[in-house]
Amino acid sequence: MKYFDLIFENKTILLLFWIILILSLMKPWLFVNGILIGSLYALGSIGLSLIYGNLKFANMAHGDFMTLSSYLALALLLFLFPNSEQSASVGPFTFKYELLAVIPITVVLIGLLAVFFDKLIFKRLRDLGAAPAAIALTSLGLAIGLRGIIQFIWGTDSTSFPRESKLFWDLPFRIKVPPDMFFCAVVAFIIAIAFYFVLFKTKLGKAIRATSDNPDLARITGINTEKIILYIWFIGGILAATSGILISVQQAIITPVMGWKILIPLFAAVIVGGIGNPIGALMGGLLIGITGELATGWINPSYKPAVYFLVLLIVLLLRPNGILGNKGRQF
Amino acid sequence: MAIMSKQKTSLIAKNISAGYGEQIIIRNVNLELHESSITTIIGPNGCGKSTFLKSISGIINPVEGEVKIYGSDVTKLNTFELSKKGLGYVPQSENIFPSLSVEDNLKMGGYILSKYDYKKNLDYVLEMFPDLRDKLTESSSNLSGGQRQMLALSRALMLDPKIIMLDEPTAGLSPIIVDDVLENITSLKKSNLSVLLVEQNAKKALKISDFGAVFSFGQKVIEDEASKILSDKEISKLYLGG
Repeated sequence: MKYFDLIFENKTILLLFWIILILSLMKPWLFVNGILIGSLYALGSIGLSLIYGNLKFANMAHGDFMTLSSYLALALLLFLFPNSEQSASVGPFTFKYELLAVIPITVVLIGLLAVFFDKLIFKRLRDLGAAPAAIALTSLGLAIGLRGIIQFIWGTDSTSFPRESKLFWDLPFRIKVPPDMFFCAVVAFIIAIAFYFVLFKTKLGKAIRATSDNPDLARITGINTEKIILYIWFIGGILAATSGILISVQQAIITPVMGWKILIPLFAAVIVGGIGNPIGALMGGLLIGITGELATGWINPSYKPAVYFLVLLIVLLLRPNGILGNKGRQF
Repeated sequence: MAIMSKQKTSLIAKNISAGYGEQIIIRNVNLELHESSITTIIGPNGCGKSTFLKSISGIINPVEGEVKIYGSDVTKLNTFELSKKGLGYVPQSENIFPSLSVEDNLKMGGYILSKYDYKKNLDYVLEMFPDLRDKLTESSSNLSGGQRQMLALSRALMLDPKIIMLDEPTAGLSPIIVDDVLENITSLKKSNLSVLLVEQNAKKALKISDFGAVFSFGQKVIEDEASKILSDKEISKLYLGG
């Protein structure tokens, strides 16, 4: 309940809440779309926030990990199941059964790749005492490098997972939901809840939060923080890969710049929610998703990034540390 | 020169020089700790007391010297490995995990313990600090200054250390709480522990100590029995405020 109390403790935030509520009642289908899209933003931003909360740098390569996961899933799908184009799709959804088998493999591979990059690049920078800005710039270099490799291997054209066209679900209040969107949102929420459980209820999760609070103190208590950092990269990679694949399924398109483009709303969500706070990232992702979609009811959808930053600006003016930023580092 | 004690030596720090980056703060410091005894380091601000503790605990690597715990060389060990060797450390500030509950702070204190040992040690520290028992589920960030110090000390005791180093445990506390904290520290001697204390409340700390060391400009200038340091008029004038 403390998170709801937060909304009501500040009159301006309460006003913002009412504006969103009224706009949502006027066009409820956009609100529903916003929640469904926002859930994927939330998943991506939780991963981004996890890395920031512990390693104190903005991982610019997060978006390209998302892109790579989509291409890798597609490559594995075509390699392991060459006839998947002809196979049946899953119930009311557009994707094929084979994709469900490929997703866990891809997600684990991307998690391991993130660990590999930490050992290859980021650990060395940490050991050298590099400044967070220098590490963030290195991650930008990694992002550009990954994108180059993706374009070299798979080309610059867009592609998609093998799919079959399906009808939208017609719900009351003119709400039309593509079944894939619903599936992706449900998976995203399940993973967000599982992540919350790991972070707050398990020994590993508590060690991650302790490391985020104070790495020196964590070491003093006997926690091998370097090992914890590897777990953080693995979990961060898993979250990036899952959100990347789900976004590709939801949007029915895979492009080499999809992850890079989505980095803008993801960073906005992380900052709006309060950097380094998982609940904040979840709330930020949903808020960015809902306001972005609601805005399309009145303005051209190409202005959505401007709406994200308007929301970011308003929230930061009211709460300079983000919605849950004053609660301290939570990871 | 090391002072003589009937008690077994638990820790030897030999010729320790350490600092931050290029800047060397302490030079050639020697110190020995003994079982069931409290050793207090006093000295003016910036003389390297905290740096010395950090170099022993591995938070900063000594540029020179060696550290032995019960004869075993631990100089090159990582900080997290030192806790397994029986070294506990409570830093001066930021000595709890504010985003965790009191109970989770203690859980992190016993991170490397088995479930059985964790339960046993938890009962032990809660017996020593009963006030924490009612606050187990509370967020540690809501604790008062004195309660935070108790939690920090309890967390360090969770691993049942042989040696514990406390960096200004009474800093910022009211006089009554200071006495409580020092009383708790005195009680640690009963558990055969070696306590290394860095304190600004120099007189009070030396009163409960067996041995004392005075640091000045990054070097150990005096080491003796605490009672002798307290009764020395010149030391008293220079380092204990008259």
